[in-house]
Amino acid sequence: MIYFSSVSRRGTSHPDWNEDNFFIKEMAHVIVGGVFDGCSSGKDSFFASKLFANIFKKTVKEFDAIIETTTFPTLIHQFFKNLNKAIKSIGLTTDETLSTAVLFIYDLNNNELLVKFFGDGCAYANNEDLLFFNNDEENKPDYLGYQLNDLLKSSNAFSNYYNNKQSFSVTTKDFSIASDGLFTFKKIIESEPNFDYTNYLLNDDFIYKNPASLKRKLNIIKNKGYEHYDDVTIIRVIKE
Amino acid sequence: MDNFNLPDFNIDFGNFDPQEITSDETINAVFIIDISPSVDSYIDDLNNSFKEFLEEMQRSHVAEKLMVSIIEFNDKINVRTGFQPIDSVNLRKMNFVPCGSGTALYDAVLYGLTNAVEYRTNLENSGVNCKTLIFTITDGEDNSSKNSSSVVKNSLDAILKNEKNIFNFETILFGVGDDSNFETAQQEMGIKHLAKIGNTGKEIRKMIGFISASISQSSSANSPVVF
Repeated sequence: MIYFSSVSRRGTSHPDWNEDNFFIKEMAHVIVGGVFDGCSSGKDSFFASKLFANIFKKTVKEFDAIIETTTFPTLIHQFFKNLNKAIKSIGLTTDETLSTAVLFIYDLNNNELLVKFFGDGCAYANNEDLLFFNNDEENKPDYLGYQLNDLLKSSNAFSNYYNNKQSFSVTTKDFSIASDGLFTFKKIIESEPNFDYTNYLLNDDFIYKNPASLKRKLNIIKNKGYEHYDDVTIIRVIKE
Repeated sequence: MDNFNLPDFNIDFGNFDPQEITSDETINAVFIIDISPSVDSYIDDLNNSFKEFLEEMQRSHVAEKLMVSIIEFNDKINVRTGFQPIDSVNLRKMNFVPCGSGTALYDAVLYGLTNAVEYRTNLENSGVNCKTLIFTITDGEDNSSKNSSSVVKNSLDAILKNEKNIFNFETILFGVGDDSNFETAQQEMGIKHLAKIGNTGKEIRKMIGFISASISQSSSANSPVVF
């Protein structure tokens, strides 16, 4: 059985919009998904991350049954092409296209996870020891929006760009992908005891079969006096 | 756990398991319905309108987070259902039949309140944010309760003193017909709102329409509960 849980919430520093977005889909042999974090200093970044999520969803639908770990770069290449086409067709300026993309594929047959980082974000594998990969570009990520035109000029340009980006691969049955908002929790009620919220969100098995598990954990964390400054998005997948 | 000085009735209301709720927020609606013999004049309209309301809610976008509890009373209290997802309420069995020999209004409200608070606390402890709406529908004054109106009032006051309940916990008494004591009952129990309505079919439908609108409006994530 595969159990998903996901959450995307606005941080306290963003008065109006949650600028994060995400997508996840279970297919016959793989699970694919992505977490997208709009740049706060961009323009309408909530739209950029939503656009990225929707175009990735569309691309996954186009590829459908042929998606596997070996074809993941091809899927991403097509995602970039579709994204570029969409951006041009609605005449977006570069500062309207600034979003990170943390994309992953999980092979259900051999439990292998591959995560590709196009900007800030993190991945956790909940094995015997918690494996953690944080791609921290210090909030100055080399946004796709700046590069799309150039990296689509030739297959070499794409390969170079793709190969230079950080990857995380691991064999696991329990993993999480998150935006960097995960690191922005702060205790706002000093009288409350300290609480290991990262461990709670990513390791704890509280109602893990329930798709609302992460949303409810965030509510509980809030009740324990913690708030997150930046928008936070987490996808957790558990295979039993 | 906050108990707000509520009595322990030691009743298993049969509430839905909080762990099974696949939402991080719910609207908990409690219906406390008078079935004493005097409601005979409007019971058919109430039954029809209430069933239509349940059907409408089962089809609505609110359904996935709407939990309902239904309590009927005459001189005794009968829990028709503890909190259950609206989808699982059996419409065919949801019929009110006038019977009994009195009106235990205060006891019934206290029962409803007690279960509402206990369930809400359980949900909140498991990460579900709640909005609670308590609808009481009666046509007459209390003459059978073991508890006084002040017990209800003290409990309600304690609940509303808690900051997080202020905008998320609402109570309304629908007084059906021309009994002049509705205001006294409302005020003595500390129920926040009173709506007096006639016992015609049109008025009953209007009341149910109001309830439906209140629940729909409460479904927006950041909106407070308002009547």
